Amino acid sequence: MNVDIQVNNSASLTARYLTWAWSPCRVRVTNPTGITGPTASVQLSQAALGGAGSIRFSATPTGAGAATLTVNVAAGGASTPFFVRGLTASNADPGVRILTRWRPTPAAALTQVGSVDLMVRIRKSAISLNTGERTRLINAFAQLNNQGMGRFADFRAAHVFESQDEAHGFPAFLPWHRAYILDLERELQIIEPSVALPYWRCDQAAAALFTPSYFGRGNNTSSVILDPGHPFLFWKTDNDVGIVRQPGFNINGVSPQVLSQALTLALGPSFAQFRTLESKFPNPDPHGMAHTSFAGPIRAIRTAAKDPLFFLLHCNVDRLWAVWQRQNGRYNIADGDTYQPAPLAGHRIGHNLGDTMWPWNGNVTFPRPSSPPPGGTMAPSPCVEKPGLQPQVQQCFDYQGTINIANNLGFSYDDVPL
Amino acid sequence: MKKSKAIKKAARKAAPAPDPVAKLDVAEGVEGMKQAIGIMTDPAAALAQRKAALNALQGASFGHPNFKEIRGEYVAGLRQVVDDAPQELLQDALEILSQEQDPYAEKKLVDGLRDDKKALVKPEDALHYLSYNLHAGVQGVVRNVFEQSKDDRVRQQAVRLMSSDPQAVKLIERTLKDKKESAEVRQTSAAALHALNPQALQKWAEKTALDKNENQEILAACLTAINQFGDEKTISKNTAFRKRISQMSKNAPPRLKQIAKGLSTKYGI
Repeated sequence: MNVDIQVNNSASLTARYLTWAWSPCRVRVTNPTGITGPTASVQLSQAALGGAGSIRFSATPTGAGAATLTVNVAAGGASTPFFVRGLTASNADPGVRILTRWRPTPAAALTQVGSVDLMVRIRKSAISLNTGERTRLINAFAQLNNQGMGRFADFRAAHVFESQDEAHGFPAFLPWHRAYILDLERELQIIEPSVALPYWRCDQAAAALFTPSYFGRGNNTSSVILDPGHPFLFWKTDNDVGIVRQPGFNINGVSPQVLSQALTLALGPSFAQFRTLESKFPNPDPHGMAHTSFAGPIRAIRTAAKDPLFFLLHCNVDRLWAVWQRQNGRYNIADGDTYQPAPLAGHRIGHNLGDTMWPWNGNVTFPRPSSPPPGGTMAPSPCVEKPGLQPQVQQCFDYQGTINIANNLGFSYDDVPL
Repeated sequence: MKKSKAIKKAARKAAPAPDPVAKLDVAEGVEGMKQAIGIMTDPAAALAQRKAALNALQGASFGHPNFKEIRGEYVAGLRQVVDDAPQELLQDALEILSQEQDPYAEKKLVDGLRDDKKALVKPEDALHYLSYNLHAGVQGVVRNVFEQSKDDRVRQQAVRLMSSDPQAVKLIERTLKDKKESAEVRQTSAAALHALNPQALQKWAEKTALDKNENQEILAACLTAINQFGDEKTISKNTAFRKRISQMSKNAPPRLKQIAKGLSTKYGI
């Protein structure tokens, strides 16, 4: 007998990536030789590969899951569904192998009849990435930029003064940026599927991030200092080459103008309270004041997206939202505290739950920016269907499919379990 | 009056150590933002307070619901800071105004590059601030600064800005090939040339890789360029280059060896 296993219900190699969320999978018999009845019982288990990580199995997308799962497969070739999720993160691709074994007779030893390799791809702290992960991330970013001619230019062009009301100062600040960094992450994954966008925890020392081998060492108003041969040597945005960024704080410590994670999570249990993390003038916050803890493009809305660090900063803002969501159980948009204040209309367009978001919706009708939106629709994922090509605000809450696995957006954070 | 100017000059020369995080004791919302603008523009206020006010206001520009109401006053305040503030605060104000593509700041910067006596900041800083709104009127000034300056930091910054100036291609190519230039200036020239004329950069990079006397940082930059943007067909026909990469992937300093190995993998050498 032989079986075929599909991860995320897809035969594509690019779909073999898991998060903490339950992924729908299926197994079917491709060669029934040796099966004596209408079905056969097969055991699903895992084997560690070089890229590390571990997984859990379940017959339903609920509970903690188990290290193994036994399912019956039809000799005729019909698929049997099961579910898999990541338990610990991989650091390279592939990290885990799903093994399928069966006993041709009750007394026989288990025999392998199929396998598939996959990766538990999780967003992690940037300073926790190993050398290989850092190299793949930097290379993917450089390729996306392609010295100013790549797809990165669209992301840079989407975060400008003219579009600031689409993304800032209104309730959908967090949902818009969740979609924005997800779109970028998916583009990075087209280049290098093993990459998950890491985050910069601005309230913890992260000197290892600001080194010549990684995101560059500050060099006043000149381009950051990079190692010879660093892929960012050819970074280009707008009209100039290089990345300029000078920390205004000692990188061996933390800028006191940023709000700690503990205090951010204590802003309050309702979305209306929590979303004030965007700016808490005149007090510290983890967003605006993280931007202004540097000199350089990153400290202004219209230029911030020139710097790849911008995306790590916003990944951290998104992670804080994810931690807060889990802490307060804020995934259900029917709950008035999950969003603010949760009607389908009433806010500026683009900020109501049922609104599609710019630029992915291509809308140029006032009050949207009048210039053609950069970049087109949201990059699709081979692993999950949501949020679709034109994300709506309401699709950005149940990001791990906690309420409904069909809502899964295909990313998880290392410190935010399902 | 004379004393005042001398004090101002001394203050600009000896900017205190950075302290961007002094406690800002102002109200929340619009009222507090107006108070902060007052502190930011007050020459009598402590520098740390003024800088904290500027940072908090700039932080609020990232989405505070009340910021739009004071935006005009904030920009006017930043212009005031440019005219009358210690160097450290003035630099922040100039960069933020430049990011806003403010014509007042641009004029001050261009005037300073044309006439040292009018310079508010070092030329390399002025060039960086101008990079936020490069246009034909500024590019001529940039080329001029590059040709007249002997300071590597200024020249490197100027090359960075010339990466979008088609009229500067020959100048950049000449700089890239000049071994008397610093590695930093040449490295930036490589990036600038690639932005303007990728074929010229690849041609130079393939030739330079064969030069055993070339600076290692420059070699690394040219191999990186080929690794990222090289034309496969051209590389496949360049026997001398392929042989050299093969040698370097076995016998070169660690960083070069690593890049050469990457090239070998990518181009099947």
